[in-house]
Order: sequence, then structure tokens, then C-alpha cells
Amino acid sequence: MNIYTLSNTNVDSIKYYFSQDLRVVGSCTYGNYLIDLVDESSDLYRNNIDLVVLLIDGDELKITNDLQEIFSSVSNFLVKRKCLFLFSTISLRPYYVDTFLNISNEFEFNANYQIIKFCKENKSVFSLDIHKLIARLGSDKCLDDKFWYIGRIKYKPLFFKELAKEVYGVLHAINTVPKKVLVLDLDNTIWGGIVGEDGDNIQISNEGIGKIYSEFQKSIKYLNETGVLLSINSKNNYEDAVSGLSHKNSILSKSDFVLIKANWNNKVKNILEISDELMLGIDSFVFIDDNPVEREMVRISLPEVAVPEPPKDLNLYNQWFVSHVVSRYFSRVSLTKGDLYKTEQYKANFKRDSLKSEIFDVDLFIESLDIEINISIDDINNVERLSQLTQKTNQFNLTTHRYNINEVMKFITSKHSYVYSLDYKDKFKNEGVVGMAIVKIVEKIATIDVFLLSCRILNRKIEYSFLEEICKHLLSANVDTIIGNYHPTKKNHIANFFYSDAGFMQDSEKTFIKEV
Amino acid sequence: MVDNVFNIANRVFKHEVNENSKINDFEQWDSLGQLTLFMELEDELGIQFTHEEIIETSTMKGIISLIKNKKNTSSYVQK
Repeated sequence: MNIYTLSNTNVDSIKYYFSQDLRVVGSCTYGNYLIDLVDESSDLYRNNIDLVVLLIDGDELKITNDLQEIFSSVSNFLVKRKCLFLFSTISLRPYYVDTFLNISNEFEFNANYQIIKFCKENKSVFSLDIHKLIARLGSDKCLDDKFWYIGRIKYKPLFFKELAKEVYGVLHAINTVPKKVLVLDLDNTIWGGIVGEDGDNIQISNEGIGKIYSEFQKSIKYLNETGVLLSINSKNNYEDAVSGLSHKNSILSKSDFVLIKANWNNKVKNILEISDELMLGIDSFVFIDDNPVEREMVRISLPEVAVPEPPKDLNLYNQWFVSHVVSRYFSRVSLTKGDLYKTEQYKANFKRDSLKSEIFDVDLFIESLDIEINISIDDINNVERLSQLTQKTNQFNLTTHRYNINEVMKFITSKHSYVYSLDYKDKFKNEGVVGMAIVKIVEKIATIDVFLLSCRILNRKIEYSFLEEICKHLLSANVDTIIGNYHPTKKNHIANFFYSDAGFMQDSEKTFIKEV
Repeated sequence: MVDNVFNIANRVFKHEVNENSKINDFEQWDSLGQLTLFMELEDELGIQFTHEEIIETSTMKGIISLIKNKKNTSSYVQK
């Protein structure tokens, strides 16, 4: 990566602190940083620059007071050249002539506020927070007087070292797709103690150990509010898990979690189920668990899942969470670059569900979705998807007959059968083909061999409309009797009463008949 | 101690330095490299240099004898 550095002091030494992959190919001559930004014959324009690092020294800025000019020069530059731009915050020396007048403080606050705002407003500009960096390291350890007077170098080696790390950190955040789902264990992870044994005495409070977990939950809640999905993966009875989440001091509540897996299954299986149900790959998962055995098992079985190692000292738990987990896996800058569309699309599912919990009148709810369904008959284009649906659908699947592509193809091309596919779309999302039926015809008798709907669109009465349309079509094809079968399995009890609810007469334990 | 000085110079310049090396022998040891090297020497060895020493001592031989002198006299500053 080619870097150009701009500063109102001499920061060229930074090039000695980058590795080979970051090459400083140019820097402004002292005091010329504004000129470089506007002068199209400058090296900044002539070289092939991937990244510009602008490091503003606050004390110098206070003298020149030209922040607005810097903003407009940077905007101007970025119109002409596409590259990443790191814009530093400022940090004044902590010794002021005007200490108690707070003029310098005010200047610093205002400048940083404007810089952060500028970074937010400009897509390719990211902040390089040297204000925080110096606060963390201590200004006495960062700032140098002698080299300032000799060569306008304001910083000590330590600062340059850490600054280089900071640049790598920002680049990492920009180039890494953030994780989407935080999967949490419960006992001794989001509260102290074991809820199944300790009940109401789990540790979550404003005191001692309880406060550690309470702060942890606050950070998670905040992370959730910024768009990260939360899920639980815990070995617990479901009722115990939920009772822990409704503890009077709990910050997180049941509704903050998109999925709760509190059972006695192995955690790998739970994670795979969460991934399935959310339709998100496990490479977008981060799993936190206090139990090293569980962590190891997930690491070995599902290496794509990020499983950070919590600190041994519980006092460092919250610092660890922010500095190792959030900054590494959930850095938000990348949302401006990458997966925004997917995330939005995904959120649509949840909007729909939350809408459902708010609106009690189911009919009204369904109506509010602006559902459009489209049924096609014997459509060869869908054959792969249809076969996949027979293979994957377990819940709302009346017979659970599985067919491969060739078999579905035969049903499509045969004169003695019809294959119906159902397209679904609502105001949130176009789901594509989510339902299907296969009907076999023998003279005037039609037998429904397959009838299934993806769970994603259940409870919206679509199954009835779908069946009704199929009946209409069969009637027009001279059928007078329609037979539906229900083969119970462990997973399809949800479809138990489907045919009788749809007006079919029960003929035997498994068979329902409708005369048309 | 001498080894340490070479180590620091090698690390800063990412370039092999020997006792005959001097400023402008290679790209990294320019005037900026000179300042950066002295920043690192001060930091690592806990020695302070004056402006003149930093600007004028631009050979490895000179730097080593300067540091030896400092270690032997009272100008040695404990970090």
C-alpha cells in the first residue's frame, strides 16, 4: 500500500515504523500540507496513493486556526482522487498558559468535534484518534521537546510505534467484514453463578462481581443497538435461561436475543441451528463462553466461528470485551464499505417479526405486509430449488417426500402430474420460491404427493391461498376429487390440522378428501 | 553496548549498518533518518544528546565514540 503523509509538523519518521506492506512514498514538506492537497502538480497527486494519513498537531493548529480550510482542501482532494484518508483528531499539550480559563480546552473539544463530524460525513475519511492514543500512552511519554526544536519532530519513538499500530488497526477495521452475530453462553458468561442452581441469586448487580457482569451486559446491549444480532447458546433448561434474563438487575432481556438456544444439546449443533435459522454463515459468528471445553469444541468443529479467549482475571473482562472482541470483530467502519445490503436484507426478517409482536390482530398484521404471491405450474427454471425444498423442509411438509432434481423433472414433464411453485414477496423482502406442491393425476382423481412451505413464511395464511389456487387449477383440469395425505414425523406436527382446516374431509388417519 | 548500537541502527534503517557506515550511504539514512536514529538511541540507551551532537555526529564511528564518552562521564543520564 502506498502512503502519503501530511502534517503541520514533521511526522516523516513514521515511515521507519511501518512494515514492508505500508510504503510511505511521499510526504509534504514542512508546513506545506494545505498546498499539497490543492496543488494538482504536487507529489500527492502525481504518485499512486492508496492511503493519505493527515496528522494534525493541535498546538500548531491553534496558531494557524485553519481547520475549515483543511476540511475544504481534503474534500476537494477527494473529489479528484479516490483513496482512503485518515484524518487525525488533535491533542493539545496538557500544560496551558490559560489553564483555568479553559480556552485551550474549548479549542480542543471543538476541533475534535468538527473532525469527527467531518469523518462521519465523508465516506472515505476515517478518524485516526491520536487524542485517545496520547491519552492512553500519556503525553509525557509521547511528546518530545528537543527534536521539536532540532527538526520539528514533536513525538517520541513510542508514539510513532503506537501510531503505526493504530494505522494498521484502522486499515484492518476497514478491510474486514464485521461479524454479524454474537452468540453468548449464560452462566458465568453474562452473569455470575449458575441460574439452574442459584436461581434469583445469580450475580448481576451494582456491587462487586455482579457489577462486572452488569457492565458486560451494558456493552452487549449497546453493541446490539448498533446492529449486531444476539443469540444464546447455553446448556440450561429453557425456563431457567429465561428466568435469568428476567432477573430484576438484568440489563439484557429475552427480547434482545434473536434466538435463544437453551437446551442440553451440544453447542456445536446449536450454533449450526442458529446459523440455519438466521440464514447467516457461521463465519459471521462470534461465540463467547467461560467454559474452555465448550470453546475448544467449537473451535475444533467450527473453525470459521470466532471464539475469543476471555482473560483469566475477571476484573479485565470488560476491558477485554471492548479491546479484543468488539474492536477486532465488530468494527463498524467496514459497514460503509461492505455488507450493508445483506445486513439490511437480513434485518427485514426481524422487522417483520417485531411487527408481529406489536400487532395483535393477526389478520391486520398479514394485511400490513403487502404480500404478493405468484404461483407457476411446471416451471423448469425452478427445478433445482424445488428439489432442494423437498430435501430441506421439515416442519410444514405434509408428506416429507424427498425428491432429487431428476425426479422433480419427471413430475414436471409428465402429463400425469403437476408441479406448483410458489413465489413470495412482501414489503420487506422478495423471498423467491418458498413453497411447492406436486400433484399426481389418475383420471379424475388428484393426489397431493407433496405440499410444503418454508418456515420463513408460515403463519401468514399463505398455505391456504396456495392450496385454494391449486384446487382451482385442478378443477379447470377436469379433476373432481382431490386427496391430501398427512404423514406425521417428529418435526411436522405444525401441519397436523392443515387439510381439515382447509375444508377437506378426513377419510382415514392419514387421508383427507375434497370433492370439487 | 556497541552491538546494541548496531542493532538499533539496523532496526531503524531496516538496512545492514557497519562501523564505516555514515549518513547518506543509503536511502534510509538521510537527515530524517539521522534524527530518528538519535531519537531511538536516546530512548533505548537512556542517554541524552545535545543539538550539536545530534546534527554533527553522522558516522557510526563517531556515534559509538560519542556514546562511549557519555557512558564514561557524568553526562550519562539514568532513565
